[in-house]
Amino acid sequence: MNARRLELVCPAGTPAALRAAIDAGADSVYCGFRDRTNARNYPGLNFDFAELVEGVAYAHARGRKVLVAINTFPPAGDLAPWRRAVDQAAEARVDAVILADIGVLAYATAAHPQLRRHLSVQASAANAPSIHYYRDHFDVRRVVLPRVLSIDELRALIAEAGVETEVFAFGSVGPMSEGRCFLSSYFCGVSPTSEGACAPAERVSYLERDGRVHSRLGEVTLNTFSPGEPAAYPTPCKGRYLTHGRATYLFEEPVALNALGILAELAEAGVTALKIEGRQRSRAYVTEVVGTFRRALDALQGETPAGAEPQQLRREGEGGRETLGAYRRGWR
Amino acid sequence: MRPSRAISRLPEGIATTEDRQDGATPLALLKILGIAMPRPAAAFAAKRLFESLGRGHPQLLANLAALEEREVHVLPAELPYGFALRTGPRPQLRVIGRGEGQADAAVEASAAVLTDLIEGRIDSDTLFFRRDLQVTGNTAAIVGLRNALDRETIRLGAEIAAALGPLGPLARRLAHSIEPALGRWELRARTLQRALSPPLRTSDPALTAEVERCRAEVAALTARLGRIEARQQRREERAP
Repeated sequence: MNARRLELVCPAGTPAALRAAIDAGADSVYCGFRDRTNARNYPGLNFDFAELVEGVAYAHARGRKVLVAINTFPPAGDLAPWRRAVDQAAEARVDAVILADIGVLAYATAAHPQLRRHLSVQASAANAPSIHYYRDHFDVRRVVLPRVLSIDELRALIAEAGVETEVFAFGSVGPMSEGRCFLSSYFCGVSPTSEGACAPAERVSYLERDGRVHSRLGEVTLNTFSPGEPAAYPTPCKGRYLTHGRATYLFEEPVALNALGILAELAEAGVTALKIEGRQRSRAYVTEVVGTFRRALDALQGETPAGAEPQQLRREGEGGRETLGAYRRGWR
Repeated sequence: MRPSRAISRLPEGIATTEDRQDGATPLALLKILGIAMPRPAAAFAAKRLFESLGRGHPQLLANLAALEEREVHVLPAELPYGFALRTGPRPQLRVIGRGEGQADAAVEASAAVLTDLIEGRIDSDTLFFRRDLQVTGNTAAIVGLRNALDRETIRLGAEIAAALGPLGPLARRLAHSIEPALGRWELRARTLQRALSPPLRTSDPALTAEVERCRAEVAALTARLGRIEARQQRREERAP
């Protein structure tokens, strides 16, 4: 079967992960600077300018691309770090910047008109007028679509969008209010959209008590896991809350999106690129997930005989379970 | 050269020490350090190892120094003692007894899992989800340490051998020769443990894990069903 070629966009939290992603078959790698200008601001993660320059050289030498996420929202009166990040990305000759805030978009458009701009999922543009606004005002060439659309909705939106589209194919899923979720800030006092970390590691702790793991965010226990039960990050949207005396997942369950089984449908719907989530994960994860998707995409192109089994990546995902999320809205 | 053998129980497809073709035997070397060496000698070897790592990977030391000042205890489950790694301006590694010293955070797993983690062959979050890695305390300290290690390519077998200086080649040969015996001994110990356990004993980790997975699945399905029912009820209430 020869389907439309899908670009494989892969995460890199470190230069080693960037090289691992390229070596495993990524077409593009996205990364961020070591500060709050991107949505994965965790200790020891991300790139400084010199590392980014080296990463770009490594990718370009192999015909691949590097995209830089500068996708958080500057607080009032504090645009300087975001401007600096855009300037440094341009100076490092990256292939595109992934932006969300309209002020940052306006700055990038004015200061670096030749620098390709993608719209981050954090901007939460999920309808044609919204996408057209970013396209017409900031010459956005690609939009990363929020994880709220079914395949049919994707197909319809892509027909109207007038720009390239990138959709999530693997990784953690949120409560379907991308870029607009402040749940974590109620627990930590830190805004995930301007500080770049939902459930920042500084506020997360795990306790072992009576054979159970208790995961805590700030002073709040968000979940407990019995021995052997698959664990999850203590993000508020995936907490287990007591309602009517029963502990249950109210917003979202700890599951991982895995679109390996519907790649042909996504290609047919007109998607340009597939995004793998997980800049906070290690290079071993990057190698495993990117390699599996590369094999599946090559098989889809008819370049290799067999693709990957959809369940092959189950162990990599949060909670040890998978979902097709909104792509198959059986629950709607 | 002979590849080393894995003793850990890892799922199919995840790279383990079995896949090594470089002749290094980090697991066996670690176990020699842990079992055969008296603590002062192991402490000396750990100090030499850290100095050697610093020389071979100056960026690793710089990355550890850039982190907040914290002490993380790394506890290989099979060894009689663990390692205290200090991050911050003066990174340091020392050997500690079980329960000794005040840690900001602790990581516990089998020596094989820890070895694979240090070498970047396995993902720590995946291990954590599967409960093969026990993490307690300040998560930022652990995340920072994991990311600092993940930036470097470390071959622990070669590093341990280098740290042992002239004894390195001897230790490596010894590791090669005892590794199969170590594997057989551990397999026997596990078989014996299983034989002594009553059938369907719930402390069997695999069975417990399966039961818990099923419980979680049922709980999730029940919750989902509840939501569907509630939605249906609202719909019916709204219907004329």
